[in-house]
Amino acid sequence: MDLKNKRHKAKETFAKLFEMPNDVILDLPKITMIGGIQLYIENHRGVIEFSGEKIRVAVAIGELEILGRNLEIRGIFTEEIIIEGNLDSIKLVK
Amino acid sequence: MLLLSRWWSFILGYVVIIIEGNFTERFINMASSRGIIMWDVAFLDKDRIKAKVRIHQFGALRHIARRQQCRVRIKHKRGLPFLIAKLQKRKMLVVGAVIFSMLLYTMSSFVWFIEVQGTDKVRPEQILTVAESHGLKVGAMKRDYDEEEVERALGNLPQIAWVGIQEKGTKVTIEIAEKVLVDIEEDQKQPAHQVAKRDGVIEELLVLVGIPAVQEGDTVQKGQVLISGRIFPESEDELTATSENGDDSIINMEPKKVRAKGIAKARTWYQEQLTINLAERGYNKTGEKVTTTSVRIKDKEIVIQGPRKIPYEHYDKDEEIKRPSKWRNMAVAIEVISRTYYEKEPYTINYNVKEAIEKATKEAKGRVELRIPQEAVVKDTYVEHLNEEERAKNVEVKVTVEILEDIAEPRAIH
Repeated sequence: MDLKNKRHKAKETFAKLFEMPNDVILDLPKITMIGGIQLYIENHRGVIEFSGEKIRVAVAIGELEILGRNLEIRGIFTEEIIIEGNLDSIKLVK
Repeated sequence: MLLLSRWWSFILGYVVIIIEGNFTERFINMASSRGIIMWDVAFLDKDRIKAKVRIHQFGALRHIARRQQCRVRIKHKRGLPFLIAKLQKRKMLVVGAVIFSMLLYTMSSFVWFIEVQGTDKVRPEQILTVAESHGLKVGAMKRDYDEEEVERALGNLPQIAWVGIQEKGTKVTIEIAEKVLVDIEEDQKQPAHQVAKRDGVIEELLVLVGIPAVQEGDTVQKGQVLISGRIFPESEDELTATSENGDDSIINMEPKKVRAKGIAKARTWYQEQLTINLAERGYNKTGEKVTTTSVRIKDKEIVIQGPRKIPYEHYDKDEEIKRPSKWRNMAVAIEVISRTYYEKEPYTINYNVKEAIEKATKEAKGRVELRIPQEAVVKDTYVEHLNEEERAKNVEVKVTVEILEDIAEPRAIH
């Protein structure tokens, strides 16, 4: 745990030093939302729960909880996931 | 990217699957982590989801399903490979479609209709016969005849002045312009006088057929009868002078109508008057040009290419307007206009009086010569200078050429 923390710190310093985007270096999720109809998550770690009203997606720093209606996974790839539907709320649970 | 991949999915083929099991989420994660692309993943009810996957990845999915204790069922098969497979079962339909399009293509390369337009005296059948002998006939292939060759062959027909062949689809239109043939032979038998075709003084009169109506040395006017075509059987000599004056009734004899023949050599004059300014102004093209293209929609015009302002002070303009062809009588109010502007420069040449007179005389003579009939004999040329008081500004010359020509021309007697 200690080692992991140290490595994380090092990465963060590296990212700051070279002014690189944090998501690339730190493996952080990048979430893009288009209106209330589409959600684009990069660097996901898999789907935890999936139904028409609730989708939970695992990310490096915890999980994203998406509530809505008629939710669908428009596409799922190794690194990306695209969710569409009537999005009501998004919550980041650490 | 997603849209493109959908097209690819269609081309490669994909299946719509239903996944049943307790841990459908885990199934999705495992599939995606192994690089299996799934899309349109929809929740149906608890433990049942619908998804789409490409066919070449479906095998791997089966494997995952077994490990996650899920059941995968194919609901639909979509895409090109399945379509082809389906068509293979209905071979005759494909064969029919192929035959149909081949037939359509082949048939359209034949000529099926020939229309002859513009014929009046010439029978269309005659045109068609000539066209056929050069390969253009109903049922001929378009590439089997040479349009220009047929045009040339038809143009060689004596009655035809011009031929145009137009191909539109499977229809060929032969457009004919007939020569307006005056029936010369028939016309030359008609009784006629010989009349003067212009004013002149008769120098020599040679009568072959008919009765002379004028004498050598007479001044005649245009249209005057020179040799009469009316011959009276008796006492011709008494009547010659008066035959045209309608004295026939007094004699009470029917004159015989003939076609008068003869030559009437007369002195005639051709004149040409010309004024030349001492300062000649005009424009010369410099060879510079610009082209602009603009689009006109209704009343608005937008320049889309070339300068908005013409960079020349003096110029000539060429305009070409392109309109889209009418479609079912609906004219589209859009035009593409291309204009070419040619730059020109004004110039002024100053002549002195002598030069100007020379130039004017030469030009006037040239103009007269164009009007003189070729067989005429030039007797004399006079040059007159007019308006000499205007010499400061311009010179005016009048050239008169006296020639000897045959002025007799036939005119039918009615």
